[in-house]
Amino acid sequence: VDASVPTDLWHWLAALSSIVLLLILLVGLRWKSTEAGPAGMFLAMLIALGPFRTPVTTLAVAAGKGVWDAVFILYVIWPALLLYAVADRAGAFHALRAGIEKFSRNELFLVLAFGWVFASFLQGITGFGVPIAVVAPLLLALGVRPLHAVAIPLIGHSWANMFGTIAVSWLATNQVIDIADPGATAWQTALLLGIPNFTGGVAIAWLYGRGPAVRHAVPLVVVVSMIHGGGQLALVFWNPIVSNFIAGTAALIALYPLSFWRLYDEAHREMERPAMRDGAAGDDEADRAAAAARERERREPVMSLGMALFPYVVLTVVTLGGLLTPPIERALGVYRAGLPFPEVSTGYGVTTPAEAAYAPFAVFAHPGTFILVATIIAWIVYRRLGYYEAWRRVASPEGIWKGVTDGALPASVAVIAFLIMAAIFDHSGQTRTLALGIAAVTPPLGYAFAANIIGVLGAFMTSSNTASNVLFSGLQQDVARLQGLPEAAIIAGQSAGGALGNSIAPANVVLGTGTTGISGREGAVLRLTLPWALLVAVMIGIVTIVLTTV
Amino acid sequence: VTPSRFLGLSLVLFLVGLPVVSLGTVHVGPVLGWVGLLAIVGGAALPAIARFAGWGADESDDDGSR
Repeated sequence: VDASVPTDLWHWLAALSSIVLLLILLVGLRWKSTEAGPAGMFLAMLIALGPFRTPVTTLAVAAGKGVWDAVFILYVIWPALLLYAVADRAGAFHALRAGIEKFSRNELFLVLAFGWVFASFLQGITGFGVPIAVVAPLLLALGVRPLHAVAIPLIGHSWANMFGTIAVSWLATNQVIDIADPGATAWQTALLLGIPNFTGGVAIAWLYGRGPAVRHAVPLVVVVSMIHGGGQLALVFWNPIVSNFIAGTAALIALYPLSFWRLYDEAHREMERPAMRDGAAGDDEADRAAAAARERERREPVMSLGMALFPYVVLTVVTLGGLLTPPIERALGVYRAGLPFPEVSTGYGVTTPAEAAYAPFAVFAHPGTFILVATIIAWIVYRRLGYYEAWRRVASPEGIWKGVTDGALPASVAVIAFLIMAAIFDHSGQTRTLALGIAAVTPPLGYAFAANIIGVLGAFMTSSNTASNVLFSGLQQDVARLQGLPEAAIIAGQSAGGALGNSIAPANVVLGTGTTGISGREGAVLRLTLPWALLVAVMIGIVTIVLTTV
Repeated sequence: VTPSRFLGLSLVLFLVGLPVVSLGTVHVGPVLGWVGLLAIVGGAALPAIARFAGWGADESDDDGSR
């Protein structure tokens, strides 16, 4: 265990203070993320400079790396917003809503299909926040209120993080630590991920229509979570790399026969639907942003449902072609770019090694490129078929570029601030102080319970399951050995927490608020996802304790 | 209100600061690295300063959330 960072209560509280400030500003005082993010970042800088004895050069390197880390996410935000604007300005989202209403009259089924099953499928093949950036506007088109349209995919996709993106987090974990029993670690991780999967489906139904909706959705949630969570659990014994992709794809395909299930092929009975724009009293200011769209919804669509889904079909095909065809994947991954950074350290001896090319960026293999390709193809096809002209005559929408910048600029500034804060935490040793502090005061079973909370913390800071595991897997392994706990269960807890943390990571929330036109409402979204995340963290903690005894 | 032109400028400062930090801390010298850090800090501070100072408050891009 790294003994160079201070673990006394004063330093631990100092390290915690910027996270607490961020939460208070976002959730309590409802500050916009463009202001709360920098405020948290500045406090983290001051704590680093003072109590954590971090030189200015180390801070500069951390800030530079934070901006670079953010570029990976910005390259999803901008193309995703462009894709949305290109489709929306052609009338595709209006056609999508009108077409889906004819295809299925069960609104709850559709919300679960898009917000849980499709979001999980996208996480299986892409990651970097694509499920939120892409699914939130789709839910908006279904009539979901903006806040819920962001919260639903945040909850729905989180279970798929660890083995999603073709298991990048699992591979990274294996790279940073030498796992003694990879088989046991993989299945125990998959078992724990079943909790956010099943409860995610239930939580989405709850958000949609409280108790009556949950009762109506339970059969569907059980079947889909058997395919999602159960499928992933069965498949990790064979191949963890594709376990999430196959489970997510199977669930997506299963939606077709499930839509003929008598329970779900007709509209559900009347219930209060707080998640829907026409389902509850409009007491939310964000609903005003959707008023213009509601007016447009009365008009005849200019394209078919198939044509409205065209950009998303192209996105899926391009992504699968790029990632699952080894020669293409290798060719796309050849071109990588990364900036050099020197070795830096702190007054406590926390040293970060030099990098000739820090976190090299494979531009062509990045999900942002796949979204961009899908956007260009969709734009060409829609333009050739005259949809822009036709929709302009009906709805006179605003320009594409304005739509993109309105959402992307605040989201970009916030994401950069969050990731600089995370890099400062890492380089100044604050991250390790927080984790070691928890490890120092908790007894073995208490630590087993808290292992996933450390994972949540890492993902909350970095909006990445991979980054959380890279930051904390070594520490978790060390503490497990020191306390005589089974390593597999502790790493599984860390990994499940890393996945869960994505549902509350401010940088992920910003992706959704940016693409649904409610930038600045991040705190309100967190108030919807945070209670679920806390409950699931407790459940994962309890099951992790059970796993340490088997 | 944080006008979009200030958010745009903020983004530019971040993106300019990044290579300056790398160049300064690896090749030129720490002072250039600190200049890069200053650009990044400026990028982070600008939206809040613009909002609370009321710069460009006539440019309405607020969503009314606060």
